[in-house]
Amino acid sequence: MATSSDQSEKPQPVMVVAIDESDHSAYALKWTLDYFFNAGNDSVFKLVLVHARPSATSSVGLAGPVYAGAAEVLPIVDSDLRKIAARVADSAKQLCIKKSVNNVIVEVVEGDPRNVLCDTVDKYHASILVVGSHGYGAIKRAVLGSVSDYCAHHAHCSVMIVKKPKTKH
Amino acid sequence: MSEYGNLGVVVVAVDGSEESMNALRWALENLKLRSPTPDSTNAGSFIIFHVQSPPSIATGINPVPAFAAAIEAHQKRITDSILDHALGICSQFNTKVSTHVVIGDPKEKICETVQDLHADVLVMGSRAFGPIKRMFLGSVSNYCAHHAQCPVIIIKGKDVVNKGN
Repeated sequence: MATSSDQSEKPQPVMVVAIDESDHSAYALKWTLDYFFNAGNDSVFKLVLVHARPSATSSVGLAGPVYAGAAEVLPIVDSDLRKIAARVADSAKQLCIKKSVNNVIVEVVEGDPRNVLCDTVDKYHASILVVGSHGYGAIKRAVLGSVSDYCAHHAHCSVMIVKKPKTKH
Repeated sequence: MSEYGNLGVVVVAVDGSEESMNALRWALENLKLRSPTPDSTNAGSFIIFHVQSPPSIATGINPVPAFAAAIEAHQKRITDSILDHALGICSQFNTKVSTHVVIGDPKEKICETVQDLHADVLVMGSRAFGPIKRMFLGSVSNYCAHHAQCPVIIIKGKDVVNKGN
């Protein structure tokens, strides 16, 4: 056994943070950076940000079952979605740089957020997944579905759910 | 310098389960508290929190006083042994811990206490009933994930983590 090259023999545990365009996920990222990464690059965890980009076909499909002009619209919708995703990824990266966390991996993956998040956790063997939460009530959750619920159930690692506190009156 | 993070109050909810003790161990290993140096007003601390079942469940509406007292004493013994075990785990880590016990319904009391103690984060295990039910969250962790006023970390069992490899 050769001499160890660096002190950290153990692989650094990975924290995956889910981001989208909502305020809730920006809040979740900020909270995570404040409480887990305030030592900058010296932190315990390796940070991976993942954004699930909806695919163009699924977005257009919502407009109606048969849409004759779909073929022409798809490339436009696709490039729009790409722009939005790039913006999301960029603003997230800026938040990290502001907190002096520089070696962040940012992934933009096309697909359903539920699966994208769980797959990313598996890919990086993450020890914890952080998701924001829209704070929907039980009915909204049943109708719209809850990504944070799904991930809390199915991710192969610990899950942290960060909710934006309700405004105090 | 990297010893310390920024967490002030970390509440770890424990019951008698192995999962909650794993959650405690995970929290102690991975969560860095605010440092106790003079420039920060209050150092971080871990609070081990246990909700004891109220005696009324076992005794019913009109309990015989002696019987109620016996049940209460029994519950207290259970609580004490749970906390002893938890403190035993904490002794391996050099960090400030305290305990807090409340009697009542676990879901509500956990959320209430998180507010009262101004917790920065709540850590809980997820009760696993078996290979099938293990896919689902227990009702307490599910409730708290949605109703607690602070971020909630749900620690799943170790074998779930290793399944990916």
